[in-house]
Amino acid sequence: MGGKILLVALVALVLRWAPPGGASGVLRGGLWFGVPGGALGVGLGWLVALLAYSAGPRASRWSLRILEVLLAVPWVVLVGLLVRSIGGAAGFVAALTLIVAARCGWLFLEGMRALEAEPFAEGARALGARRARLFLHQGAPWLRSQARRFGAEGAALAAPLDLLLSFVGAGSGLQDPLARAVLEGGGRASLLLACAVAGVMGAWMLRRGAGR
Amino acid sequence: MLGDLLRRLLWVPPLALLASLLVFSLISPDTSATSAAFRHLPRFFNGAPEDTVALSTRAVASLRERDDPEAAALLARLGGAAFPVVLPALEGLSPAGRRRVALALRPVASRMKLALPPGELEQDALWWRRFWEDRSLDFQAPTVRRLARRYATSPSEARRLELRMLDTAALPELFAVLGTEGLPPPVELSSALVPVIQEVLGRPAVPVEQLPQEILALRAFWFAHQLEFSTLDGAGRASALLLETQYGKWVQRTLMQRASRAPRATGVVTSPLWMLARRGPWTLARVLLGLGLGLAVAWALERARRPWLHTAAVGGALGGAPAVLALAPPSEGSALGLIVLVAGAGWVTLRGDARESELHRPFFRVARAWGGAGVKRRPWGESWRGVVLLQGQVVAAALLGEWRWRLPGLGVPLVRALQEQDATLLMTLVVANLGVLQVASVLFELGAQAGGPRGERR
Repeated sequence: MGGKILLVALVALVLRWAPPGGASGVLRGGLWFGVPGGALGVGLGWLVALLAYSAGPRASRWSLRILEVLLAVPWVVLVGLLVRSIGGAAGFVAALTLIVAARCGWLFLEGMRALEAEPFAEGARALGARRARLFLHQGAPWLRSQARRFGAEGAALAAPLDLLLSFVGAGSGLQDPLARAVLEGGGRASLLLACAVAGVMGAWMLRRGAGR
Repeated sequence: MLGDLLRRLLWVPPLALLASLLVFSLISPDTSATSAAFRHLPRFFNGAPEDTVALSTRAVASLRERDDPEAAALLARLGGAAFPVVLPALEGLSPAGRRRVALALRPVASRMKLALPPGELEQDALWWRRFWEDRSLDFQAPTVRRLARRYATSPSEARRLELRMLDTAALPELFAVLGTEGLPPPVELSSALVPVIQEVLGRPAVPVEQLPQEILALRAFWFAHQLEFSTLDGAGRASALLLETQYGKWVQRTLMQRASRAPRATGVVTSPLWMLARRGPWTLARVLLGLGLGLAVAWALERARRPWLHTAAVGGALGGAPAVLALAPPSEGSALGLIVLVAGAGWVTLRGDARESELHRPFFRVARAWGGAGVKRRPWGESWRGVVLLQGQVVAAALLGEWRWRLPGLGVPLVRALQEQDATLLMTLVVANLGVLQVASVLFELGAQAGGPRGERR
């Protein structure tokens, strides 16, 4: 409990006192973009997978192909286009949501395809269990752990992805001052601090998300 | 196995179409450099494609009722191509309407170097009626075609003056002779045709050495505005529903146009397929090498059997990738290091997930209950399939590294295309990536089946 309070206090301090960009920008990106984007993405991916799997094997295969189309769009392109067409922050969250949703949905559908071969799934289907029920109950423990992991991955990806894309002018704009400073030859200390924050925050989120 | 591979490959064209529709819908029409020339067209479906007949009918109908500067400007731009509709319609207009149309046609007369009678606009209308009575046959397509080809074969001042008298009605045949794709025609032909087209379109003359660039510019203009000076027939009208759209123009330009290269002296390359063929292998090679080296790193970490190393690898990649991109010196090593960092963390996550998934699967529990203590766990099987997920971050790292350190590859043109919202290269890249991904996912799925867990009974 003490550790959590200390962590919250540290985050609040950095957000309050650190200059725009740098570590505070990374924290903001991770919290404001990553958490909503990751959560929305997992929810959307889960919903798409549930509907597709419930609709039958053919719909499941079609949905896998369509998700592969979304996965084939390079992240740089997807984020860059959505940031330009929707707007900085909203566009970045939308892109992150789509990336996480596509990955989530694809893995859920692939996972159910593998689970179908298991004896319990075959038995359940032979007893007349509907595909939706199979998705919700038979795959639930596995899906829950994957959902946690993907939600955390989305949150963990946000800040470093935004930082990377700011160097090409395709990010949300939150990291642009830092990127400009570094490209002009300064701001290295701020960048290294921001990267350290991104790394620690990301690793912590992924560990929490995976339940370890 | 082969059937599965073929089936997946047959899915590539429709999925490529879907991918291109997705990306095109994301590109903002207001800022896209690609669609700037086609901004007047609908995005995906053109319910009422407007050819010369439709445009000139609309303009005349507007000028019949009232003063309309836009309709007048439209008639002036359409010029001689609209004469088959506009001049016969003069009879049926009111005196006020006739004067408005005659006024709109004055710039056309000036362009055609016609000497209109001085005086009232009503005299202009009468003059145009007589002009059409005398010369309507000259505006028919076979006559125009014959004149354009004769001029191309043996240019003469008399034929040039005849072409000028046709104004924009000659443009379809002039561009047919000039060619709308491929290498520019010989200098003799170009130097005869281009001045005539420039005169009709009101463009300034250029020196002979700038002819290749001028031909590219004229072709781009014709590609965007061809329909304004042409007439659609039945089949043409049906295809125009899809082709006369921003998306249709992109498809035509990307897939049907051959590499439009100016002579070596200018080195102008415009075809995205050509750019993909030249630069794509660099990016692909870096991605494959990065995936391979990242896998080796993940395998080494796995062998070390220290769980904290996995967390450290992921955290290191998340924090280290931006630092490497920003601070590393420009070199191939820096780019490869960035890709390996990202790929290694991805493989660590994938293989960790695969191992954990397998432990909970019933067949392992069943196999062990049967006495199969020597069950071989092969998490490689599951992790191969996950390359579909891994390629996202690895391709991003490769492209960003190429842009940052100005390395050969798709990174630099891609970022430029993003900044300019150039749909052509963006969608070509997405479709190419999709094709590679489909082939790779089939191969990796075959690898997953071959590398799956096997149980041994003791």
